Amino acid sequence: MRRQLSFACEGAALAASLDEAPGATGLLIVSGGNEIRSGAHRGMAMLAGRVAAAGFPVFRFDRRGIGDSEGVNGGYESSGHGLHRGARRRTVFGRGRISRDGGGLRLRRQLADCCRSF
Amino acid sequence: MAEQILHIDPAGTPRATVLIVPPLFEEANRTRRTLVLAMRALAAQGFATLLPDLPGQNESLVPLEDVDLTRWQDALADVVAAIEGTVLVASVRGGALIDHRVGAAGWWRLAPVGGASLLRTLLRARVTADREAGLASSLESLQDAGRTTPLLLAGNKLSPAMIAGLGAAEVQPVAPLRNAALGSGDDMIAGTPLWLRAEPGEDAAMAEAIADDIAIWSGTCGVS
Repeated sequence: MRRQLSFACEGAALAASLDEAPGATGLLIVSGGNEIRSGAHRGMAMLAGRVAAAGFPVFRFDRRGIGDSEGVNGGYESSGHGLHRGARRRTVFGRGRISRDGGGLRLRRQLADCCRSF
Repeated sequence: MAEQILHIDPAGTPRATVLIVPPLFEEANRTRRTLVLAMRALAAQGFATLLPDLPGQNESLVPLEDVDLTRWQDALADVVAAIEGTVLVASVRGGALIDHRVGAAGWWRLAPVGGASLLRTLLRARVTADREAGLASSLESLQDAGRTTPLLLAGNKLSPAMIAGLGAAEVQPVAPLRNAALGSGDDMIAGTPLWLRAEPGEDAAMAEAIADDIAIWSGTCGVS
């Protein structure tokens, strides 16, 4: 099941997609460049679908000022986060433990918190 | 299966609803940011706006190989049938090939393009990729193969039905219609052909120009 949602990040609503799956380890995909969350040729959306089908939830989002998200695109240079610097030219895949206690809402909140650091 | 529809709505009762029909394939990615900005600008001028995902595009879970132009036309007609009140259609590039079967008070098309032109661009990309891989192919050999088997063209797996449909698709007459073109003259949209870029870009001034043009034109379609 793929859900479209948005979360607040420093005053802007950022658009995101969550491919739900029962696993307690989630995959966070951070697009490089100015690509939208579905990716070039829908590559990231298709990848997310396959990973979720294998049992792991996947979260993708449009960076501030990209795609469907609000805000101004300050470029990667506006972010000091190390992982984000790594995303300048390529897509970065992050993996973290997530808790499903409290169901999908908590899962979303944890993933959204993770995105705020980008 | 319900596809994602991005809605951006005005604060009060909408003057009308503007359905954005995006370009096809990768051109949709490259223009989406600017189209979303145009939707925000339209909402600020009192219009409800929506941007649906076509089956097999963007966030859709439908394999692209399973769709053709007829299915896209059906999907748009279904989206519009569920909208209450006056609907205006705003299509960009190849979106103009699939917008004519919806019920609307008017059609606005930006830089409409024929299906054969889009298909040729996709085929050329495949020929170039084949050459780099040491394979010999041509527009003719690919078109022959595409009559019976799906082809992977510039990252898009297209069915024989889609290939044949694109090759023959022309922009259909609708009324009332405004054809908008990019340019610096009177009655033109000042902006850049973002669909030609290598990655998604943004042209905020163009987004404002699109919204202003649609808002002014809507008056000729009976929207107050």
